[in-house]
Amino acid sequence: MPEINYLAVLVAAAAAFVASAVWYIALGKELAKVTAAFAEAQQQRQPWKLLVVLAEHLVIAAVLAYLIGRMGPVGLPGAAAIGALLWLGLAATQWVGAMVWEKTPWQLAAIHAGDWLVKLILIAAIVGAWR
Amino acid sequence: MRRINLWAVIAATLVTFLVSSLYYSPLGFGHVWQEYSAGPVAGSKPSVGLALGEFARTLFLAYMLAYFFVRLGVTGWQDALRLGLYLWAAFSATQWVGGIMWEHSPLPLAALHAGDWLVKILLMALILGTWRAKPNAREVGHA
Repeated sequence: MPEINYLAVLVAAAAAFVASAVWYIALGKELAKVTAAFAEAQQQRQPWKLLVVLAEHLVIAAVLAYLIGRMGPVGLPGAAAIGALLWLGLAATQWVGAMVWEKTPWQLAAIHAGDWLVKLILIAAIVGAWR
Repeated sequence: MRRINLWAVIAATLVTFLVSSLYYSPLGFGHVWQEYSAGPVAGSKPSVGLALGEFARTLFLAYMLAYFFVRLGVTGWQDALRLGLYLWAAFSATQWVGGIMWEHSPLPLAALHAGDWLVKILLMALILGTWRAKPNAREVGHA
């Protein structure tokens, strides 16, 4: 079991949460054009959803800290590259599947996949550099 | 020395592709998929092109998992299963929780797809974690 810096996990989850919020605020209009459900969700104030999102980011940050911790010293660029590779292998592949099999509009898939790329690189960089 | 066993990657791809095909067929959960999916192919027989594309996607996933397992120094099938579970929780479960909350993805559809990923990742992990590389297999460098 690698040593995990839990403070770094908390900070990484919080940073990714903020980055994700900024991402969806910036692209909210575009997203609302392709998904009525998101447009509807934007109108409603439901703080519990934000708590769930924060919990999701904590899970992602904890798993990344564990994985990168097991890999030994990788440095900041190495950690960011691991984040990008995890995105390619495990996040982007799911959005490709959603476009092919569930007819998910490419704009929707691109916005969500972009959010995942940003958050994975950010989390990996923080937990990789701060050990 | 860290190496990828390409034979294990191919075996993991073949097994997972077959199991996933059965999972979405009328023998598995095809009826759930057909009932809740917005996609045009749910529950019907996919074209050869779609099937080949899905095979390529599965192969890519298996290769990436193998790459990470080698870099993580996976010690056996139990360790591999545990890692597979962590990866599923971080990359699949979280996406579907988001889909249900923000885009009103139907719960049965989310559970269906998340379940497919769970089966897929655990099967791949089991094969890749058990069948590890011999010295002449392909070496993995740092990212």
